[in-house]
Amino acid sequence: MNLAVALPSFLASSVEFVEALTIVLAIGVTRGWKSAILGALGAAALLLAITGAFGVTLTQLVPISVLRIVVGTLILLFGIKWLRKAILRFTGLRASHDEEQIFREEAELASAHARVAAGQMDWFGFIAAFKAVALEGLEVAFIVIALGATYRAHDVGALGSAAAGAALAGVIVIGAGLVIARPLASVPENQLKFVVGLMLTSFGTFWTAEGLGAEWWRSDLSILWILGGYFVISMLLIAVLRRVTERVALQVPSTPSSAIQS
Amino acid sequence: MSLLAGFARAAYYFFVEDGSIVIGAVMALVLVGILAIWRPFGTAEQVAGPFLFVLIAGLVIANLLQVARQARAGR
Repeated sequence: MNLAVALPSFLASSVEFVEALTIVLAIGVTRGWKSAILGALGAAALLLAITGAFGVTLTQLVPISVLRIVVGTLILLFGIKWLRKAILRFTGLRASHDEEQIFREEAELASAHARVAAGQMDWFGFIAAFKAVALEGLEVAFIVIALGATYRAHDVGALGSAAAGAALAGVIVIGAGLVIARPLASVPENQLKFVVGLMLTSFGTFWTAEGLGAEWWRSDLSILWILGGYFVISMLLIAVLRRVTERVALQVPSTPSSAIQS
Repeated sequence: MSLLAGFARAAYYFFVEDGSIVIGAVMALVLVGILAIWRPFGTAEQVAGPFLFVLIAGLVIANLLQVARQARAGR
């Protein structure tokens, strides 16, 4: 098991699974569990096929330098967006992700649609659950393939480690969701997003530069100082932006956290 | 239709809504790519990596300070 691959895959997948689970639960509660579960299973099957096909193709056919540039770029873009979003949420410049609120909104939306007769397939519920799992799961599939493929030069089992990390996250999140049968509001989603954003930005920087022909001092160990550098910069930015938020709050006491929604 | 609309929304969000940081990162990568191919200095291989790190870190700092400036201006 390659922990350098499995850990970011596990953390990133946890965030996406929580978001998908919230919507599937809302559909299940309001439209019935049959359509919600079938929709989720259909999307999961599609994602498994995508991961299998693209993962194997990428790891066997595409040259490693090309893979590092393409996947490194995409991972960097993913990471930088997650990191930015997490920093803005930490500082109150962007509203935090509220699973309870999303659950209520999805449930209201699902309830507003006409119900089908008992025993018939509820296609609205099926499509809504399918869409939620497919969209959130695509990000998981992308991260699994990207992490697995770019590490193949060092470890041929990297794709398996990435898939195992994602699968473990799925088992834990879905298991917890089934036990409590309501949104996982207590999961520290923003902290997870911050850590994963840091990891993906660091891996992305490392791989893209390496794919372009850069030689990192101390090779793979460079990831540690890149990670540390981004962490220090992020913490400084959080401190600075919190002061800005406090000043804005003093000027406009009623809406401190909704100053900007970018 | 619902699925297509979902994908379109995700694509819009990824490329347009938070687009500035994505475009900035792509430009940074193009710049480092040119540096790696052109090799204006003998030590381009050693410089390219840290240079990319500095560009990306600078991009994050500039982007978030811009957001803070907008918040302070009440926009």
